[in-house]
Amino acid sequence: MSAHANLERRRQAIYGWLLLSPAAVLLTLFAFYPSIATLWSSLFSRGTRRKPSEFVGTENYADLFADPTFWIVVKNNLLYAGITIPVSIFIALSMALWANSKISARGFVRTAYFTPTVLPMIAAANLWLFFYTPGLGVLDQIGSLFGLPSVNWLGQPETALWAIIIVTIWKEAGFFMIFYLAALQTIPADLKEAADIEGASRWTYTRRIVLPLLMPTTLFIAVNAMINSVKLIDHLFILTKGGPSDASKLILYYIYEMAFAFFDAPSAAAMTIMVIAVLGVVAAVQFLYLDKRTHYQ
Amino acid sequence: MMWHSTGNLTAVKNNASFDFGVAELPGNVRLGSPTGGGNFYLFKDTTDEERAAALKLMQFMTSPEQAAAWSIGTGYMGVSPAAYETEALQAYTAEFPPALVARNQLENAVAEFSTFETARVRDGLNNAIQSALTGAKEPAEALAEAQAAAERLLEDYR
Repeated sequence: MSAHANLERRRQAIYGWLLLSPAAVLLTLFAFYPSIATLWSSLFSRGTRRKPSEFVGTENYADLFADPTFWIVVKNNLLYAGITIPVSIFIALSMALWANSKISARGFVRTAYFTPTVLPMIAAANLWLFFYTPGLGVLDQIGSLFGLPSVNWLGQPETALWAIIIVTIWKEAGFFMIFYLAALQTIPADLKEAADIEGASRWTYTRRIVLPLLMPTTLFIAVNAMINSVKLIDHLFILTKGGPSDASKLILYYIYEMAFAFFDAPSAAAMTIMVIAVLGVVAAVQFLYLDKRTHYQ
Repeated sequence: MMWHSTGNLTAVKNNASFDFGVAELPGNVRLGSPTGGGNFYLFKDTTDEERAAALKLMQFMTSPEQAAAWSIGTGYMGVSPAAYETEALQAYTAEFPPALVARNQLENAVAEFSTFETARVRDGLNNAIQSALTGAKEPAEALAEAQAAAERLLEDYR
């Protein structure tokens, strides 16, 4: 009898592993192996004709810490993430609540909010380049109606990063709105009825019922927004190329430059590893800590 | 005003529906001309046949007739003085003198910036120029930072 149970358990185990294997193979091939290979190559010096590549331990990391540009880039990215994540989530939520209420032309409002998401980032960046261009751009044209002086939004260190941040928020908010809209559809109508009977105000209903029920979505969006704040750099290529004087350079753009403009693959690998480590830690905190405080239906 | 590579000249000529002129770059303390372009390399560790074939390609690509055709077709400079002696380019520049402006400006050109880690050292210089132009830093301070960055990058080669 116990032999039979054993066999059955083993059959179950094999069945489980078979179900897991497609994902495991793909993840190993395209995520785990590249990560480990990157970690490995970040520990070697760059090979040149005169000096072949050799094991240097953490020297590439120490070099980065001594590189002033690296710290500028880290600071830029922190500000970029610190603004784009909360602002785009807040705008997405506001737009979703608005587009979910009973207003006329609801379909049009939803489509309008979602349009930026459909555009490829490069096309969106070209659009914004036209907005920001000094003299000819839309912003300057509007400003000149009110007698404001021409501003080179992308060309001065004080405004370049902010101009990039606005493009990102504009691009992302519509995408996140879709998730909020979907989540709002799942909130049962009787909760609203019950709240009305109890005499709860709209604000109380939103704060005590809608927002907690949206928490799983918010968590999901927050993780995505955080990843995007590191991942999304297409617009930099069109708008500023990281300039002026590194004022709008983000970490992935610097990694790209390091690898493909300066041909310093080990430094690029070291930076990549640091990004993976930081993202991993933050994602773990978000999931382990916030998850416990999130109400799932 | 358009500030562009001479390699765009033929495209402008073909598409501009208005009269236009071409001028050399203005100068302040001294005149200058930013040069650039691709190079041909021949490697030592290759077979004789490969080297002979590569040399043949290079001679073809840099021959005066090819250089003249390329210059007429794009606006890029002919790669040798001999290109400007060919009939084709002679006739073309006689009819369209702006095609000579970039070449004449070569008088003011200096050798291309070249060192170990050229791209990164130049990036430091670019940043210094941008900082000075946008008023973010004093020129002396910006250049001192570029110098420090270059020295850090070139540490290994001392």
